[in-house]
Amino acid sequence: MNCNEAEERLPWLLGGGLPADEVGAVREHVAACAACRQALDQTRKAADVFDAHLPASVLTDLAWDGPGAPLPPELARRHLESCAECAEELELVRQSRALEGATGLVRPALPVRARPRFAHWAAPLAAGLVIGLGWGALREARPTAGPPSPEPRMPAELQRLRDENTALQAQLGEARAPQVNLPVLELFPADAARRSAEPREDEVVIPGGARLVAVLLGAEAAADRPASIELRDQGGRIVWSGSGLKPGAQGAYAVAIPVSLMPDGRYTVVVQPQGARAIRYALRVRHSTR
Amino acid sequence: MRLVDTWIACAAAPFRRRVASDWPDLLQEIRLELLRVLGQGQWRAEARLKTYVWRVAAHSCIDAWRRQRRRPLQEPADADMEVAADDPSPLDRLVADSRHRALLLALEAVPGECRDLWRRILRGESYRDISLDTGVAEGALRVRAHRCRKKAVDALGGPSGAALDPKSGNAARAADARG
Repeated sequence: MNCNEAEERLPWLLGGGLPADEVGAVREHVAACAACRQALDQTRKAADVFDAHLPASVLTDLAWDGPGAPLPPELARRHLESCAECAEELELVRQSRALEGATGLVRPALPVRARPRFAHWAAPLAAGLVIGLGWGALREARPTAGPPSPEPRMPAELQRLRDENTALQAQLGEARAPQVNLPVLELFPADAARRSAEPREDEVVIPGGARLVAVLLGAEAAADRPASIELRDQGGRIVWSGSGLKPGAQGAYAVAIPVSLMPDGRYTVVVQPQGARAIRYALRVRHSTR
Repeated sequence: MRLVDTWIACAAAPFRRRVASDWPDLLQEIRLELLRVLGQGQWRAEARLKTYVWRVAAHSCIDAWRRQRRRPLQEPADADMEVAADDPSPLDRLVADSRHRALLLALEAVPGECRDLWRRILRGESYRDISLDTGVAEGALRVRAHRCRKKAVDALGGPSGAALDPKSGNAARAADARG
């Protein structure tokens, strides 16, 4: 491997997406070449740029209607417009903040004039919490004696959970019914498809009315260890995930995925066996009306 | 304690699906982080304790989810890499803020297609996967990534990374002026 070949592969070396058979060669070359070590350093700097996101403290501040200090508000706003990941994180923190308002405690109202005195007993309270948290974090959970503490009221959260439960019950009811005409997709690793003589059509058509789709994931050397699986949309967001996946007798992984999670679009299925290289499957989903 | 645990679980609930199997670890991590910041006296009763717990939890959730997304990354071992301190000094925080600002400004300065390509690379996608998906030849993709790397380094103030140097910061100011 020469310098150009090694240098071009450095981004993938850092990202972890370099094929296993090339990793050794690139590392070996970089170890022996001062210019390529310098290039690796530059690649790290570039990776820092492309992986730049708003700090968590800024997102938290924005969610609590702060200015997003210490970054200039305009810079934070511009980044949020162009970064789907940060925008999603901010949305989740805002959802979290909304739950704060919904979990009020049943307790007598504190007179307004008494509030400044709160600071006088804040330090002992914090010290007590430190001790309590330390104890709680380090011990095994065990039943506590004494009267139960007041339960928090969470009407919005409770309603959300009830709605979710209703939807899940409906899905469960459908799942209990016989799944006739279940569409079965067979996918092959993206890099294996590349090596085949004829390019494989990666578009899959899901017939209308299907609720579940059975997916068989062929693997050239499926590990016997449990694997995790993720279904990512074209934006890279995980739309479905699972763990404990094991290959069947034919050496393929088999999963059932709810069709509702896969609107028309491109997806990547990533199977990550423990201690082995991830296997990727690329597919383009199209829903048929028939 | 049950009350604080309830607060933590509620605050982290929106992230539960994102972190999936790491959920119990996340709750424990938030408790430990709370223990750390309260132990350092960082909460001064300027905010309600509940709000403070909520913000610490939200902060920890973002950190945990980001770590999970970066899990496939395989950075070659580098003995010189700096390890962030648990309790950064005010100067450390200033340097970190300046660095974040410089990186975000540099990111704005590179073309969108470079950002898209590199984000896929940093998510762990191989050039074969990206090539299959985009229809661009593997060799062309590698050259494109290489050019984008140069643009990012230039946006940072050149190979010396002047914008990341808290002593100079000229490039950050220049980029700021452009923005």
